[in-house]
Amino acid sequence: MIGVPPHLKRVSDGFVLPLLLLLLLALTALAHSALLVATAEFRMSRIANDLAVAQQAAEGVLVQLPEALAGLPDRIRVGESVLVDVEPVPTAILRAAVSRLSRESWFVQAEAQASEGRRASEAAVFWRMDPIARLARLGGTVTVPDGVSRSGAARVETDSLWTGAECVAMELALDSAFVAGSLRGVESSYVAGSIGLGAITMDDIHRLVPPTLGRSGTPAPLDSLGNCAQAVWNWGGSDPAGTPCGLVHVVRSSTGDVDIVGGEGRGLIIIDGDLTLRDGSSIVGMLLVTGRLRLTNGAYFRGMAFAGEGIRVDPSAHIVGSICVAAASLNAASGALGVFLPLVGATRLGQY
Amino acid sequence: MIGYAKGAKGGTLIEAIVTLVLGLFLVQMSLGALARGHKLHQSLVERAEALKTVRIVRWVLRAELSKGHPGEDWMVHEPDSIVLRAYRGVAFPCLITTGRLDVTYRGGRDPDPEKDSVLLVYESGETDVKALERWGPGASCSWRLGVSPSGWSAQQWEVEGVLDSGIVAVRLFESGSYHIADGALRYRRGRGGRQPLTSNALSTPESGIRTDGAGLGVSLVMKSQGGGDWTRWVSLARQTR
Repeated sequence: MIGVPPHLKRVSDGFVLPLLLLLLLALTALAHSALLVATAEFRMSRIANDLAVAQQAAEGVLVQLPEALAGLPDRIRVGESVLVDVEPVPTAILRAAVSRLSRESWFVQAEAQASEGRRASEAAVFWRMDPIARLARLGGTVTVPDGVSRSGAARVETDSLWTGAECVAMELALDSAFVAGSLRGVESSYVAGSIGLGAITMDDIHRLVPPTLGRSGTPAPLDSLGNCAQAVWNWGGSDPAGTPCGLVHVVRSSTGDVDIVGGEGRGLIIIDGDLTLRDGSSIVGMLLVTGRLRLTNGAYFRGMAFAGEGIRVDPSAHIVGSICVAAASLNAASGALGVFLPLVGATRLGQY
Repeated sequence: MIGYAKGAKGGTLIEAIVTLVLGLFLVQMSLGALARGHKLHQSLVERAEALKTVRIVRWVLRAELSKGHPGEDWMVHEPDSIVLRAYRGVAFPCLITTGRLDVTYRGGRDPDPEKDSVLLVYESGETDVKALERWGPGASCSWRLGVSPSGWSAQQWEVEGVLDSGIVAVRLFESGSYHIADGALRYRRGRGGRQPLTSNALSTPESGIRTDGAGLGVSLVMKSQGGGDWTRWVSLARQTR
């Protein structure tokens, strides 16, 4: 029984094992800290992803919501807010609120909560045409910018207030908007926007009311089986009467100069160019013209007008100002033009 | 007795040598694994740092630029910088008098006339910029707007010049600029110094603001590539006008 010499016995006892244990411990610590870094990174990525989902959902509401607000303007007064139902999306819970800042401007805020609970919001100011607010900005029967020609202004008269049948429905609103009294004749005024319709642009108008008018035409009422027919030059009748087209107000637009030769009609006529009424033409409603407005050879217009490059009323022609019919025309156009448009300068307000 | 002892001694030596060789091999393997693990850990940390930098650049710049319009509210000044109106809050006026606005305000911070201006947004869609001269608490504007009405406060602002009655909204902003310089995304308010918003992880001037057919974006090249290609394109806006 010879034992192993002491110096070899220490080797066989093993320094390798403690060394290995130490190394394994160091590796475990390293792996653990790497795991912590990876876990933290994974958590941050999930948070970022969740926030991005919430943000996109909130922004999506601002794009989709305006179409759903069509019925709101009559129900909300200036200064009031309402919560609006929003169609849910699989990735987030949505809420939206609409506040009326003035007759034409609306604050819309959308908030989204993603599935992990992160929230994001986005807000914007929208503009929607209001007939009363528009009329209050146009001070005269014919409004023209400063410095443009105004030949025959003496043949522009004004109606007494609220005499038209069309005024009945809007009498209270008109009373509050026109405390200063009746319309003036031709009024020089700086009207923001090219045609006095506020924040709505000509591109918006042509998108909403396709420019169907050609170079010239003769408007005339056209009945079809007891109804007022749909036709480019059917602008209803110039006087309310017991016919299908009697109280119709149309909306028409053009992308160039237009001559109206004779005929009759009523409505909102938007011309991106010059407009000439001639040969006994009788039009009632509102004319918004970026170029020159000319009435000649017995033409007659009743309502309100904006002429961007001046007005000329020949001795045989005549204009009578009427807030009533202008209001009725704008009111009838609210269906086509009364959409919520993002107001430039406040289209994305961010979240605070 | 002697012979047995000799044989036993020889066998132990061989065993010891084999043990030593195996031990050294094991140590080498372990050190290699340790070094590789350390390298992996390092690259993971660098990757995390790079991701964080990309994330900060994307969130900060997108949030700032999305509140404005290119050409009016912000523009690329140099390949490494964007100058902008950094919007900090929005107010809606209840009462407008000459040079004074009673507003309901909500923002990331209180107004500061030392550094803030206001963008007046009119109902027609036109805008105007004025200096904010003074502000204080107000009493007359009690509007509570939006989904969470509690965040609004009534304030009274004094603004330079005469004010039109057609103001719909007032946006509070400070003039500033973002830079990708000296290894980081930096923000400079007015004419102050450029404060870093990220760690010093970016390789500059390789990183910078670029415009191409797809719009505006930031090309980010990391100093340390972290074992992979760490060049990222962060899209900021589709149209730059």
